[in-house]
Amino acid sequence: MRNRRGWSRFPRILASTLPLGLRVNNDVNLCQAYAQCRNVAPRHCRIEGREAVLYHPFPTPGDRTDIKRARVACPVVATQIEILGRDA
Amino acid sequence: MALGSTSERAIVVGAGLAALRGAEAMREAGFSGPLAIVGAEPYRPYDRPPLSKHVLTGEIQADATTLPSSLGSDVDWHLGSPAVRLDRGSRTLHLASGCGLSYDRLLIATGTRARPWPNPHEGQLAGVFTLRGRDDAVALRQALAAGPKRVVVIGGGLIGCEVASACRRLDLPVTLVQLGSAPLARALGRYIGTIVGAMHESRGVDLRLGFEVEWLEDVGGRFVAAHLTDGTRIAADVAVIALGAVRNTEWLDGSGLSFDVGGVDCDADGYVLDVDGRPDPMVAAAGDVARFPHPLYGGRRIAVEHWGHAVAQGARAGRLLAGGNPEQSYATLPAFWSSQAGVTIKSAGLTEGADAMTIAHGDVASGRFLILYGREGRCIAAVSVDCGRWLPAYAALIAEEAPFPPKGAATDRAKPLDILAPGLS
Ligand SMILES: Cc1cc2nc3c(=O)[nH]c(=O)nc-3n(C[C@H](O)[C@H](O)[C@H](O)COP(=O)(O)OP(=O)(O)OC[C@H]3O[C@@H](n4cnc5c(N)ncnc54)[C@H](O)[C@@H]3O)c2cc1C
Repeated sequence: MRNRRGWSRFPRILASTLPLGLRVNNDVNLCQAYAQCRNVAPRHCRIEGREAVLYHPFPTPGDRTDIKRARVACPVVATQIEILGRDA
Repeated sequence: MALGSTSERAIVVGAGLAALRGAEAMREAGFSGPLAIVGAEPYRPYDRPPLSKHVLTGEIQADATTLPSSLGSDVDWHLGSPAVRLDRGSRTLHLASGCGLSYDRLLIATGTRARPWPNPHEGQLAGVFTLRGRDDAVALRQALAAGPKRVVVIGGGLIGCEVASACRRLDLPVTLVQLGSAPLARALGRYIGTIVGAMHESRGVDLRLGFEVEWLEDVGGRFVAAHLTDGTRIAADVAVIALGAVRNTEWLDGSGLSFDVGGVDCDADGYVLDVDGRPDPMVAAAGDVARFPHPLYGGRRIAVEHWGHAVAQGARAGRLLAGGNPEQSYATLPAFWSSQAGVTIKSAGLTEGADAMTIAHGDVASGRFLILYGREGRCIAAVSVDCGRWLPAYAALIAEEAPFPPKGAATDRAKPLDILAPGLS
């Protein structure tokens, strides 16, 4: 899906409907827009303007491998994730 | 003062960012006793920064802002019922629900709330909003999604500017009214405020600088226009009051602790002081609500209302209460970011009292630059606009109170730095 400005849109998920999943938070103070997360997980992170990295904060369970990879790829370790549910 | 036996109880008051990081730190420090978290709102701790950004544009749903956490199921959550009274004599925290909880260690992290519009009748009109919590963001998002013919934002601080930005991203006509001569001037100075103000104007924000909104007009209880002190009437159907925050300290009335609307007072370790200035070794405070002596600012008590501060001070207070190893005084450099007008603004240090500044990196014309602020010949703060990668280098200069202007520092200038006036009065 693309919105007007051509960024791919995140799926609009209602967090409360997810039985299992992830929560993602980016420490923007640490983040320096190296954008490695975007390179390894392009469906879940995007760059806005010149240096704002935006994660979808609540991806679906199937996305966890991508998100974990994005976390390790970050040179300044700005990404925090929590894996919800039993098979974490 | 360690939380010795597992029968000792800890309570965290407030269920926001500082509270969450504090509770996690207690557990990480090995505290395994009963841990209760008391929150006025019905939600688990969530992230506020998206509320004035992507939640307003509809790109992120408000309920997707719940914060990641390492806490397990061994936490007793009391959500939706604020603490109303603290009795330190019997070490009991009373909740609005009537429930009384006893504690051996208490962390105060009740944060702030939006400063209300001074006229209570006008503040409650349909179409008038403030923005602090999730419910506020949901209500404002709904109003914006309905396609108002104009939005008036009252106040040009960080949140006011972000709201105006979100309105433009939604293609909504927006007027931002700011009493000062530039947006963000109080936090960052007139120099940078003027530059960012021009960025907002180029994106279509109608900036009214040097004006005050005198009153809000309504028809049958619904807001229809804002009236400026010079008599101008701005017709609009949404007004956002963004006039800063007041600390949530009323519940400490009668506790014997030292507090006022500016925060609750702590010592350099993080313990809360009583009215006679003695630390209570059972009680600590962290985040927006805490006023503490910062070693970098001559030990003057300051309260810092930023995300990174809530994380760092919350975690430190958690370790303190759990009896971890003694640490040095809390000295984390205040830092924040803001996304607005298509740029990322980041700051390290406090600009307050700056008497000089220099553009140390980049240039204003390109829209990417970093400004370093000095006071009495020392580096005190740095602000980057789309130039964040250079910020840590300057944060280091600030932390070591390096001379201003910096000599031989990593600027990208061949010539000596131009010294300018920051416009902080
Ligand atoms: C819209 C918005 C956007 C922001 N954007 C940024 C940004 O881009 N960058 C940045 O650095 N900072 C930003 N901030 C600031 C940052 O979010 C705060 O500094 C941070 O949330 C402070 O955390 P805290 O835990 O101290 O307070 P809070 O997050 O306010 O948490 C306090 C909690 O205590 C609860 N509470 C209050 N009274 C009681 C009581 N009597 N009993 C029990 N519970 C109570 C409240 O309900 C609340 O949940 C933003 C803030 C807002 C509101």
